[in-house]
Amino acid sequence: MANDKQFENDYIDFIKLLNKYDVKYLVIGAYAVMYHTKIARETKEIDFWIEKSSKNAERCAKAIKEFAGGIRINPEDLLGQKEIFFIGVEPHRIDIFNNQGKMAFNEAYKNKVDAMFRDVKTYFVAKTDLLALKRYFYRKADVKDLKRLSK
Amino acid sequence: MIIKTAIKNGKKIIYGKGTPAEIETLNIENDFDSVLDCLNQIRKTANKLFGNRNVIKLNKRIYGKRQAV
Repeated sequence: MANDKQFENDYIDFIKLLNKYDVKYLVIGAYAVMYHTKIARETKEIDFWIEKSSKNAERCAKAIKEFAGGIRINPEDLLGQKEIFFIGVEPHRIDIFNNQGKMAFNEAYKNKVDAMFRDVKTYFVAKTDLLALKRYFYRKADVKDLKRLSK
Repeated sequence: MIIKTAIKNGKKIIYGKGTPAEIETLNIENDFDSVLDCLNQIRKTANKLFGNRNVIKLNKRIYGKRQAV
């Protein structure tokens, strides 16, 4: 079972580092859906939404460097317009977004949900904001997620 | 919704009928930890069925940027 949980441990290590460096982040996407619905659903990545500011990008770059020593990253790499920084490949990948449609990060951050991912403090996007994001993007998976979240 | 249980070859089988929404209520776990356990079980089963047991780790050597859709 330890091996089966290896990717989960990688995600947890990454969250610990985001906390360690005081990165302003929110877990969005499938893991946030699972947190709010309490229903497991297959996903190929964990999605993080970080505040788009040079200070925050600097902190996040530090976390990424500590997480994966060999990575060469500049804070600017996390600030690109409509760009996603990723580590790993499907089915175990970390995606870092700096933008989520028209939603303002600071507004979503105010509503964040303080929760535990196993034994690690984690900030999840609030259910109302997640619903708004799902309605905005409205991809195939979002439609299914919306049904589950609306219950 | 109708839920019945049976035991076949020592394994407990739950079956029944209901609308998709009713059936989905059976998938709701008690807490997030149980959800993560369930997800691990789904992946374990998929690995067993499709034989991709080598993909258990996040490959930290592969990284980069891509365009958001």
